[in-house]
Amino acid sequence: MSPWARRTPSPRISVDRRLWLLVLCQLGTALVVFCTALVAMDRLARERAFMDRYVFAPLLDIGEALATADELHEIVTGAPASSAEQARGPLLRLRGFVDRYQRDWETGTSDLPEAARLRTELMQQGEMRLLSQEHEFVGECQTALHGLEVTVGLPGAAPVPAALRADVVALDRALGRLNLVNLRYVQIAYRAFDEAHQRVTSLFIAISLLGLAATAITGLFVRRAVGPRVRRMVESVTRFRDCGQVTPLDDRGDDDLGVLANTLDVSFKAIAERDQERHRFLAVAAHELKTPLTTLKGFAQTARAHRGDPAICERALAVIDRQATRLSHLVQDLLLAARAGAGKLPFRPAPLDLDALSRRVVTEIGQAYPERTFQMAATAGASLLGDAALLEHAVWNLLVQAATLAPDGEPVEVAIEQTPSRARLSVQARNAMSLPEDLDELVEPFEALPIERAASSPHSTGLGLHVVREIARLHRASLYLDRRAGGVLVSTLDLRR
Amino acid sequence: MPRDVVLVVDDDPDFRELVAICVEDYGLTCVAARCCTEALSLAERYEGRIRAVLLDYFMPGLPPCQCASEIRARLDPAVPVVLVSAAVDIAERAAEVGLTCFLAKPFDMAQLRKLFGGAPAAGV
Repeated sequence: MSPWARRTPSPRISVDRRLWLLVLCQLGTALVVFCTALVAMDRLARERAFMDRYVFAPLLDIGEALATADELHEIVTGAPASSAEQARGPLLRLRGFVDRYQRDWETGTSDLPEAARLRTELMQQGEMRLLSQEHEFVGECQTALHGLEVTVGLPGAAPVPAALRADVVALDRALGRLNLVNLRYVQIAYRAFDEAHQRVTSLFIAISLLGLAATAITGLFVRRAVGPRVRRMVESVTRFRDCGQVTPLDDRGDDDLGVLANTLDVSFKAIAERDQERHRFLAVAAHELKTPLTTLKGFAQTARAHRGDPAICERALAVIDRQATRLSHLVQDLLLAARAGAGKLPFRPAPLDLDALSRRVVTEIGQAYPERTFQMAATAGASLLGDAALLEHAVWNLLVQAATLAPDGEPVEVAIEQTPSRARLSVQARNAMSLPEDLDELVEPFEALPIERAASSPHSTGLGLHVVREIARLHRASLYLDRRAGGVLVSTLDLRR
Repeated sequence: MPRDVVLVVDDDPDFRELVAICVEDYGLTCVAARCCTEALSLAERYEGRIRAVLLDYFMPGLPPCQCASEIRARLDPAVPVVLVSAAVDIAERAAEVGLTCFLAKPFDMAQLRKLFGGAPAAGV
């Protein structure tokens, strides 16, 4: 199975959605905690108000009543003449307290929510008797106070000190008991408050734990979606870095990780293809360089072995010279192709005569390939601005390409057409090869190689036309390949003047 | 009948000429073919006299494997058919076309001469 056929199962819920879920989970937890805090604060505020109104205020009142009773006690134990008059003030305050307390007690036994709640708490604490005791002690206060009022003459006859003292003592005792009842209320209320506080605290702890658990589970959910895929990416990158082995991730997820994985796949594939192309380039370069080297070396050794035979020596030197020329062009092809690939093709334009330049190349290639015929049609000088070295190389490559495709004995013809703005150099020869339908394929690197390698003609690296196209680009010129009648193939370099 | 003919199959005329000079120095006759079709014809013509065949990998006319097998089919199995190529992976190429002998370019002329002197070893 091709490694590219492997598939990474995409998560049922994408990472993006899982992350959103995690964020929602955290937001939900925060919202619940916030609402709970609001409710808790309201509840505690109500508890505090309840205690102020029903616990601390009565206790304070009772304390004041006790102080008033003490004051009354001092009055009745003091000078008899002024007792009645002095006792009026304290008695009035005590009357106000007892009546108010009586009303509050009645309120406390009513159907009001606070009263109901108080009774509930008393019931929970098993202290319902406190209500009846409170009622009883208030009644005792009423009785003692009424006695005092009658005795002191509010309104009434002259005071009787002994009766006064007894009533004050009874009132004092009743107030003390009432105080005890209220202290018990404080205890009960504090317990209720404490329980409410504990409930709120427990609720907060429970919500926090639930929030933490939900966040942890969602986090694991996210990790489960992210972890294996990231690990696969790391393994794939490591394997590629260490061994050059491409293992496609083929992640079908539609989230950011899927996009990253697909980008990695495309990048790996592109790098691998470039690597293969580089290897191919090196293999082709080695092959094409070794071929003329074989002839060079062979004829050099042959010349040394036949020093006494001038004919063989002369022939060997001629072949060596010709092969060296071909070799230099091959090397130049490789260098220019490499530089073009890196976008660093040198370009030094200067005025030149295309006609003279082409004639030089035709003469030179005729010497390098004496078995072929190269002809150039007469034309006037064609001056233009260009890089002479690059254009000479381009013309050479066009001639080599044409000679490669032409049958033995067929001439390669060169012509230059001029207009005021253009100079068109065309190279044509009859084609004896089976060419691809789309001639532009011949311009791609190495595409021409199988054809060239199959010919009993000048060899090249399969880069010739590719290099010509790159040179044309630098000159803002165009390269066209056309089929014409009679199986003639025409390559045209259309240059600006 | 003496085996005094070496058949060289290569599309490079300079290489064919080089091999011819070397073979003739050795007192043998060199026959050269530019393509596989020519090689098959020469193999049939010089069937009993061929001492060795030097075969390039890429030959017009037939695919490399078929070219090699057709030539071998026309010759005595004892006649060495040597793949001569500048390919980087020449051993793999030789195995691909079913040949056990190969000569990697560039080579010394002495290596070439060894091929005619006796049965060459694999990977000369």
